[in-house]
Amino acid sequence: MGRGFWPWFLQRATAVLLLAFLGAHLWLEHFAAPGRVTTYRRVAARLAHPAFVALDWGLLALVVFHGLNGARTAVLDLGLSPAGERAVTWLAVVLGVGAFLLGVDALAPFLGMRAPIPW
Amino acid sequence: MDEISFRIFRFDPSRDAEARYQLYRIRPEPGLTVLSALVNLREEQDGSLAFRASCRSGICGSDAMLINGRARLACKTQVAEAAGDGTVTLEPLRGFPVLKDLVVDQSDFWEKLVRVKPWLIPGPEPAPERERLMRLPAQQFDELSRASDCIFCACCYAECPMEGRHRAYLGPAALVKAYRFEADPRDAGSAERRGALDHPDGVWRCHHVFRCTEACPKEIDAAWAIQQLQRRLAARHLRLKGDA
Repeated sequence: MGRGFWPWFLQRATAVLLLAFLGAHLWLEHFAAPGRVTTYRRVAARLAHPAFVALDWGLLALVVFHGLNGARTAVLDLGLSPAGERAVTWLAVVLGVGAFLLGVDALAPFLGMRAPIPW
Repeated sequence: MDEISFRIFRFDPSRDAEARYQLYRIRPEPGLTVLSALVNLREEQDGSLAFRASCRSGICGSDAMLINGRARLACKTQVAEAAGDGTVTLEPLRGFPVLKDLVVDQSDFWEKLVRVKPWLIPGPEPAPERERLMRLPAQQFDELSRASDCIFCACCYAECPMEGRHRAYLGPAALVKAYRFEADPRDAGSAERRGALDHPDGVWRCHHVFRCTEACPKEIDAAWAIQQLQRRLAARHLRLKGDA
């Protein structure tokens, strides 16, 4: 049991968490330091701190899961065979893991630059 | 009232290669229901017309059909209301094999209903020496009443888009009936029903389109009942309460 429950539950849980992460993301980008121009150097400096990278990785994980699980649910609603459903699920897993690893790889180099927070 | 047309789905699998629509014209009396019109048509114009009906008063649920594309009870639908542009189109319920004309094979619907064990399953306490009194507080009775008015007409089943795609989905009627007993404090059958309910084709297939709630002629909020089942099962999965 649980095959139907976990995709259903996690879709709702990630939706709630997305609101919190998106709120934090928007606050950091636009309201934490009003008037400051966002530059590459400032963003890079902020991403040197693990907490900010964790926030962005968390947001990425939530977005990827929520989007792909939602797309998977919509595709399964077309009425596929059990083999087709398994194929769609595994395709979503591969795409999701791939997208997340790309994001991890993109932000990882900024970690440990030891620059001061630019605000 | 002026003469109106009835455009009726006709199909006899023993004779017809494919379905067709047949036009009939009637001059309706005020207050005429679609079911009464069908009875008149069969008695006066075409004795071969097949449809299912029984009580004529919205209790038996036998005469559900698509009236102008929506699943409704023929006995509860006024011809004057349905004949907006002068034509009433009648078709068999969606999602069922057609036996003849407006009569469908509901075997699948009933089989799914039985799978949720829609009866009271008592706890393991020893059999009483005298009659067992299973009283229910008025407030809990009112909650159960919301789900216990179902007449098994299958209007919800025919309108549900998930049912149209996933033939294994239990469907709103069976789930409403399951909720009727899951919510009953006298019932101890949750574990026995869980295999059918806690399944991708059980409660989790519902995406809350609310067509079932809209279609129900008894005004049962089927989508609400399914949500209650989802909440109960989610709580058990998350060990928030109950017999996980």
